[in-house]
Amino acid sequence: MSNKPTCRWWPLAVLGAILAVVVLTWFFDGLKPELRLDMRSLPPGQGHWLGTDTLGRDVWLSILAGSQRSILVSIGAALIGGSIGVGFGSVAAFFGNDRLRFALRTYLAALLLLVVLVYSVAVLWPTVSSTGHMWVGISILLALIVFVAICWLLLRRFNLLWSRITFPLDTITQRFIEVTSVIPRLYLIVAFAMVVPINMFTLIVLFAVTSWDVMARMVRAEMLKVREMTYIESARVIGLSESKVFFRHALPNAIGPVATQVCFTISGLLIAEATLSFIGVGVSPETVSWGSIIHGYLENLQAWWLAVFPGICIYLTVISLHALGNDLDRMYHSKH
Amino acid sequence: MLRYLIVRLLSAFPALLLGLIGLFVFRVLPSQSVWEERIDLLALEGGSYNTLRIQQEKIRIRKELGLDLPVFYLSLRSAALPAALPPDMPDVQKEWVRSICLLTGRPERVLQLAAALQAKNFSAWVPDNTKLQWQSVRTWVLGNEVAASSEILSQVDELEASSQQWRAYVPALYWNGSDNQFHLWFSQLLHGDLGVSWKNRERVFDVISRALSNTIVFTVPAIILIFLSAYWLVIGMSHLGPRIKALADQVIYFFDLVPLFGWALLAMILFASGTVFSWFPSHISASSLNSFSFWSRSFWPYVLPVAILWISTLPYITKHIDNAFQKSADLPFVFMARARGLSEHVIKKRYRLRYSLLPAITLFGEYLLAVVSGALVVEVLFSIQGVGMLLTQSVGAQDYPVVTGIILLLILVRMLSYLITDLLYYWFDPRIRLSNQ
Repeated sequence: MSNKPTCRWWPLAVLGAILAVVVLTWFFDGLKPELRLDMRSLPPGQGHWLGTDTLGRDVWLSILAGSQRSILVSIGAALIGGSIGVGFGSVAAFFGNDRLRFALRTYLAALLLLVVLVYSVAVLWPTVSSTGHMWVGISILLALIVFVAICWLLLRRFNLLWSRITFPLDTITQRFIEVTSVIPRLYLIVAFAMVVPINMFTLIVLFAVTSWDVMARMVRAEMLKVREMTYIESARVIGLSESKVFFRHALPNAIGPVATQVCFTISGLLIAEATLSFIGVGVSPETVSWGSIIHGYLENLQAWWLAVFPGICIYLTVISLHALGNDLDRMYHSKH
Repeated sequence: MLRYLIVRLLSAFPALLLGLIGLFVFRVLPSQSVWEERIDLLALEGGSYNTLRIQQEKIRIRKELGLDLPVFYLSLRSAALPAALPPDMPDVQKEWVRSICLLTGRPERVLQLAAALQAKNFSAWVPDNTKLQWQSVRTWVLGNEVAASSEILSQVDELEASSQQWRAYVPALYWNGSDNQFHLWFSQLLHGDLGVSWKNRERVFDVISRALSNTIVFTVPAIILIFLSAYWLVIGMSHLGPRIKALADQVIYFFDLVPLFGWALLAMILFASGTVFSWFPSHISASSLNSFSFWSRSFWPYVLPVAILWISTLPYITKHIDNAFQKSADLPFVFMARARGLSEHVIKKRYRLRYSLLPAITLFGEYLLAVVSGALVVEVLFSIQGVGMLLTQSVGAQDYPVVTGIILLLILVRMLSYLITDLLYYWFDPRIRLSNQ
């Protein structure tokens, strides 16, 4: 090998600049676009170099302010969804269908906890929210949880409940992944907009819930390879506990490609957020994101500047993320 | 073959069942707040602004839509809540009765009090604050000249004296029988009845099939065009020299990263909106939307939507087929064919290309869903009244039955596409066929 592959400079520069803009607009209120009803739908020109939208907001300032929502939503959701995916995927593959065994009493305790959950959602929460006796509700809930824990400890005495039953984690995870990926993400979120208000928080949750499956699949495939390695076997042989083998040896070796996947997920979510705002889901006059600027183009098809400039920003970010992802992938593979 | 098919169908069943349950949960969870808004709007459509009339209208609508029934066969709630409230009781009063029940734990007495208040004067009895605390019930009764009577005050006192607050925390399980929302919804579904739209009382099946016909008019030609041109593109690229091939790969890579709405906007700005050219119409009117006129007169408006779908999907599919084609260069069967003395051209066309079309089957299955769901973005931009547009409009109008119908359609088509993918693999890939015998 002549030289090790490194990160190219331009994706880092673009992403660094965008992150700097996000931080700057977070701290400086002067960078927020203001409504100027006397300057509606102006084409690019003196004073407004990128034009103004249908409410008279300067497009350049909107792009700066909109980066906050676009970038934070996609990074937040990719990180949350990524952690869920890594957790499920690695555990499911490492323990498989036969290595995770629990005593019968643990299943019983889990069942009891489920009953407590149903009780608190169906009975406790409506009562407490209506009467306002918050502390009564919290103490009842704590008492029930403590009761389940004591039951779990006491059941240790019964030999009958000691029999260990395997938990088919891998099959369950795979079925779960299949079910969640049946409906396309965009349609699912549009449908959800009917029952939950779409704002930055719910958007992050919905994106995380719909994007964890790709990561889970990838980490699962990687972990299936890792768990057959000889170093895992030797770690077991020297007597390390199952959890130590998992956290010290298996997990660090299985999450190499995660960084690449996170880059791709962020870029996918960036496009998804822009598409949703463009359609008009979760857009109110106060929210500014790159997609919501483009949404303004739907109202006035002559105002090309509303579509072109935010579109260029999205494309630049997407390209840089993909380039960075590919570089990271190359760096990872040159090491292994 | 038949056994393979049956196993596949059975394995799709749990996902379908889970999807159905998910859809129902989707309806039930927000039932208190979200559907009430919709009912409010429907009630106001009558044009009446009399509070009493609106209340009666709301009760009628709820009955018509089946929202007055219990949700499931079983219901779990606090023992302090009454099993059923009088159906003609206005919502504000219901809310009030519930909160007083939870405060006192004596549902039968609270209902008596409510009946006594209702007997006094129906319309005047609208508590202004539903979250009344116990002390304020008294002050409210005393302050209201209609309600203030010795009879009612004594009932309030009795209720206060006999209150059992702990009952509010005791769970109670009720059996509702088959007269519940889930039973009705599910049995209707099994009969193929999706219900009526809440927006204009049209049958959901008709609404969706109309939208579907508007969608497939431009998605089916696009899909056919995409796969045909991807096939020809891969053949064409196999003739290129290494340097031009690398350039073509770069172009495909960067085209692939442009999102669908990027292409849609670009096409709109360049060719339809009049900013540069206005060769194509920017809105596709509803009158030109039936399959007959599409072929005879007005295929022109659809050129742009089809082209957008084509250019946004082509790079991705070409990349995948081309990858498989490149990898096939030194597989054993190609080596074997070379050893038999076949020319490179024949190997390319008859052996390697056929092999590299296998991943295209998976992609075809994926895009089968897109045929039905259409491209939301293209439909919104060109105002085509297709499935995606219907979904956004129904979501805006909180038209639950139509949204459920569309999601159900998507789930069914996805199942069908999995099945078709498997069958196509079975057909085209001898390795799968042989391993199953």
